[in-house]
Amino acid sequence: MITKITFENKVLSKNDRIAADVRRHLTARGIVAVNLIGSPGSGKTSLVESTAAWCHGRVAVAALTGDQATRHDADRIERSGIPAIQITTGNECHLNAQRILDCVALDELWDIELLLIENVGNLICPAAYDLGEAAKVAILSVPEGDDKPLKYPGLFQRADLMVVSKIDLLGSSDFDADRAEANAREVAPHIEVVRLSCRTGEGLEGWTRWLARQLALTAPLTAQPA
Amino acid sequence: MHELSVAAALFEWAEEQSPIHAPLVIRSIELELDPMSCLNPEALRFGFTALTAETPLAGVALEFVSVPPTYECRMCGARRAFRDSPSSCSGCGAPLPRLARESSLKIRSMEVE
Repeated sequence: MITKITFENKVLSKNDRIAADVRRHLTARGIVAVNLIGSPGSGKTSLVESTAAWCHGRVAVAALTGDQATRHDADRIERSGIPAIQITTGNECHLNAQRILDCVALDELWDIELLLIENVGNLICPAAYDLGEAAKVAILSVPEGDDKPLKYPGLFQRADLMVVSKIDLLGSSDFDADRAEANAREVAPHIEVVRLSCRTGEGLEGWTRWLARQLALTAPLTAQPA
Repeated sequence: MHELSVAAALFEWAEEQSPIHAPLVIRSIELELDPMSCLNPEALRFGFTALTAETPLAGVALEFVSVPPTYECRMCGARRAFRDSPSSCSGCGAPLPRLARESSLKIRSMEVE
């Protein structure tokens, strides 16, 4: 005889539980974590480098960077003067909350205020994993095309901010920044947008204003580390 | 691409469930999937079949039911399912709720025999 048993459960609930732990740790220590998600080559590492320069003397920052192989990105970021931890994911196409939890107690992350998490380059899978971050940022570069928010709505719907990167390349393709913004708002009406070029520095103030707002929003809950 | 990770989490869950219901065995698992879950049901089924091969869970069928995505209000935290992006929170009226961060794949039921 076949019996049906009903549940109110989640397949990824383990990741959700760990993400909640990460969020508690970070919030208690007054650390704002920002999860940067975009295609390979969209400019995530460049954005971390530019952010490191802005943070110098202002905000204590560190970066976690995820890739399938190599520590090229961590080496690049360290050259910009901030601690960087490379997470090598092997065959995994995304970071998960356990990877972040494994890092939160490391010395490099102890006295920081801002944690930049550079996810594995991918517009689909990283969107499905809560890492315990304060905000998700979707990065869309000019060479990728302005229709990506319509094609990959799962990421843009979960993101708090869309960064249109490499705007120094506007004019070299059919990419229309207004259309990209409209497409993002069509699938995610809540989303904020900044346009910038790490190469020329144009528009970076929009990004740093947004970051400053996130930092102001998060205050330590307790004096003791969790 | 990440369906194998999800299949592994599902396999782990099913392995925990098996002894609870023994001597009955699991025949099928019904999953709720929303269109924003970033998951391909066929890839998930393929991964689950591969992982369960030659285990006591071999042959367990996965069935999918489509449900609307869950949105959460960034002001009051209320969560509600909507077919389309809502323009405001039905609880506090704040504008523009965002898609919930957590996993959107749920186990609805399973059949044991």
